[in-house]
Amino acid sequence: MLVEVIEQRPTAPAVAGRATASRPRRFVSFSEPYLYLLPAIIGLALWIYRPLVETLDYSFYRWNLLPTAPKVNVGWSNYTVLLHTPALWKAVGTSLFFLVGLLIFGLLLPLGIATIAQHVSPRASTVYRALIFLPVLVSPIVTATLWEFLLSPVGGFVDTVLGWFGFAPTNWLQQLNTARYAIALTSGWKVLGVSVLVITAGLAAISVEYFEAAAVDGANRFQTFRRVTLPLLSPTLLFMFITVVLLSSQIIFPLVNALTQGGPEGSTTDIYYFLYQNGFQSFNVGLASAAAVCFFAVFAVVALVCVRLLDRFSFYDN
Amino acid sequence: MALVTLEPPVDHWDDRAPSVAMVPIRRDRRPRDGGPTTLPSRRSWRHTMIGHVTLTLVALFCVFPIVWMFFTSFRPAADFFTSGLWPTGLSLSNYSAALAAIPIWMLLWHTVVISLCTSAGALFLALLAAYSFARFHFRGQNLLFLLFIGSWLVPFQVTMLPNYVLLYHLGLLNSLVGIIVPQLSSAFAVMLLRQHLKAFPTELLEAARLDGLSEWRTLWRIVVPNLGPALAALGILLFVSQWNEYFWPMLVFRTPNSVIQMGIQGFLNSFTVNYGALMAASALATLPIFAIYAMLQRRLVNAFVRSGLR
Repeated sequence: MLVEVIEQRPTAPAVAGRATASRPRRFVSFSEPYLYLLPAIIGLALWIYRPLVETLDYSFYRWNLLPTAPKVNVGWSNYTVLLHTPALWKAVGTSLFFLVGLLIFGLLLPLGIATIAQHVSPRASTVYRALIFLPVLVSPIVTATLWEFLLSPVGGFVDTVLGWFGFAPTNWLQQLNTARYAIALTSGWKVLGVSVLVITAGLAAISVEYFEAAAVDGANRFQTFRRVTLPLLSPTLLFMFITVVLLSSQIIFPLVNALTQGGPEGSTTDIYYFLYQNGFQSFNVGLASAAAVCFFAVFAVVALVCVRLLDRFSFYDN
Repeated sequence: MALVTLEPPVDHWDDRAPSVAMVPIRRDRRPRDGGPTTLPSRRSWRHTMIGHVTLTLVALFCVFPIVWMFFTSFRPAADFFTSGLWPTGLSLSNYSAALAAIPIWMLLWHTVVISLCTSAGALFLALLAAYSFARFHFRGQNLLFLLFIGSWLVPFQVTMLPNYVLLYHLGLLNSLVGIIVPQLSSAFAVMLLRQHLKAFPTELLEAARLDGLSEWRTLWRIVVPNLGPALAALGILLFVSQWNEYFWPMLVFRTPNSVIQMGIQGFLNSFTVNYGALMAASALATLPIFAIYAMLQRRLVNAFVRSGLR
């Protein structure tokens, strides 16, 4: 063999030489991008997509999370049970309530505030920005702590100040008709600042010329807002909308968990707290997984529609 | 795909940022060079005042609870029974009470270790992945990128049960590793870095290629040194969000003695709440983050606003 190779070599030295030299190299440059991606992809596959599939799988079983307990295949019954659970629909309603609250604090109010605050000098707005940003850095648990203290019926700031005007102290977080508003307010505190910042940035990115042109055409403030500001701001607003929807679970859940544990009488149990209670407190894994699958499906559809909207209805100022 | 536009179109605040789009836009319409004013100045002055009042109110709403926390933490413990808002004096008794009630230093140490490991690891993985997406063209690129974007759509609560079970089988429950490892792949970090890398000057990369530098060396010798500010901002962002994270540590540890956020929660849910000590513990948990913020305020705000996150 060896002799043969050596003998053949002079006949086609250049070709053979290039082939042996470039084959390993070409392999490296072909696989190189994948090698760079590999660690991150493994992480995603292992901790995001595998559990997603497994959740789908769990949703067809009855299981109590104990490794020794048997898993019983129950077909679609988790789903039928789920859809007939009144607590689920109540949780959906609560989630929508919280979402509306978050959209008021994360979209409507910031839009108004940013529009009104347009005429502040850049230097002053740097100071405001630094202050408004602070709640973003405060952890969810500390947020809950702060607001529990502010809203406390014993020596809490809110009740003390209201007491000066003759109002009786209220246990905001433990009363059936106020608890969900208290949670909405607390989550609003967390989201208001950053939305004001994002929308202010969006507004400032609109060229002054558009406003001047509108002023020359004799547009009043409302017309300018409706016809100039809003269309040009639509990408930013849609972006904030998606962010609020996607992050609503992350913002609301810790507050509910720390402040009310879903109570009183389940009035602050949103869909994610419902999931958590079923999975980790009642250990009804099948039901929790079925709920997770349903929520994820709805969630994904909403997010995809938003993305499409972002793509289609955005006016860019180039 | 459209999701790339999941970033507010322009951020103009960072005056130092090297981008044409980031030229600061002057919003007061009066030319500063003493030229004629186009708008009646009285009207403009009124608008400015309304703007200041509005922003002051918003800033008060945002800052007051935090100020109140620090303020309360320095009040004497006995003050709470008098139920007045004004303190009778200043004291550190709340801090000593908090230190006696929960092992704060240990919890802070755990939190520092977890946050450092997670942010460094996530930064490293994201850098490699982003480099791959920005530098190469390869089969399945778009599909793989979609995989990253799609992971944003999966809420944490959907994956928590299977992940908990997997950690159990790996024997990683009740361990710091069990908290860190599942959070190392950050799709958000990959997307942010990819944007930065796309804007990286091609001439530098070409020069590196001509000099015969391998891709790996190009990444570490050319790209990383020039990407310092972006990497720092992202690293801090990851650090802060990990510092504030408590839900995953809560599931993995199931005891209050894991990270500082858990310690505070255990405190908060105890039967009789000692608000003074609670505020002191909260202040201690928040102070490190505020210290970082004070040092790197502008970069951090910009990074957050770009991402619109937490």
